[in-house]
Amino acid sequence: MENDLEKMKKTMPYTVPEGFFDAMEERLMQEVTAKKKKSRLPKVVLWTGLAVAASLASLLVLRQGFSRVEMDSFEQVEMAFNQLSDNDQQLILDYYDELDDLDNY
Amino acid sequence: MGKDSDIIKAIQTKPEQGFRLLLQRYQQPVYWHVRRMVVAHADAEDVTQEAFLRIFRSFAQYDENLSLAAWIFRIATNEALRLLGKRKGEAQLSLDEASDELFNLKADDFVDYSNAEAVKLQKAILSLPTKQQIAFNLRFYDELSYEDIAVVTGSTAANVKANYHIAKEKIVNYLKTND
Repeated sequence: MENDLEKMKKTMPYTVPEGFFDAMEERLMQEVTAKKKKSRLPKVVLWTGLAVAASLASLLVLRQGFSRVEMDSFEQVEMAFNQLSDNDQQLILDYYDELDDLDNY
Repeated sequence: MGKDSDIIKAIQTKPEQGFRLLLQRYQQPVYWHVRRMVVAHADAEDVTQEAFLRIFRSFAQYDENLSLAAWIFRIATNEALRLLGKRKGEAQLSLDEASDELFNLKADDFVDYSNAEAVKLQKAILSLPTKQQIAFNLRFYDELSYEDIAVVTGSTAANVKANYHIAKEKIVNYLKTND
């Protein structure tokens, strides 16, 4: 029976769709290329975006005639974040995902 | 297909080109390793993809004192355990628990049921506790050294060797009693 086990070596009943491995390789390459392009942006776009959003948030506070003099700093960040476009918001989220990954390994 | 040292050098100098070499060398072995753990093709695809993205993102953390294969298989194994654990409502499946993937062997589209002998062998493997499954699969199919498997499972080479031999014995018994 030991010999039977050796004879069965590497046979598996599992299959994959045709062209699966080539397709996955290309998908992964596209993903890492896209990530790299994205992660180059944050330094310029991210901080510019945040600066613009923060300015908008400040203007909003001023326009409200200082009716709310005190604003929680978390609220300010949230407000600034909300001023960003969907793409810039996603950029920030991806960036923090990558930081999480680095922490895990 | 490059040697590990060439792949490491390539990733360090030209990450994307190096990553392609790494995929060409490890994509299939990693997919089949994950597939043997999670069984369903769609799950294996998701886990493999996520594992390789993690490998790319965290390559700066790779310790060159470890073999590249061991490091890659460790990340892939952890991803697979995370998926299996999620199904049980846990963060990650413990290596001492058995997975419940036998059901998937009966349900997945990408299984050749006409290969009765191979189906039976996979059933025997899936009946083992997870750490015996991993020790057996990585040794039997991927021919990793006991030292490398120990890196994957966070154990010792002696422990892995014991697990491999226990697994082999159980599989032989399973095949005998389920003729």
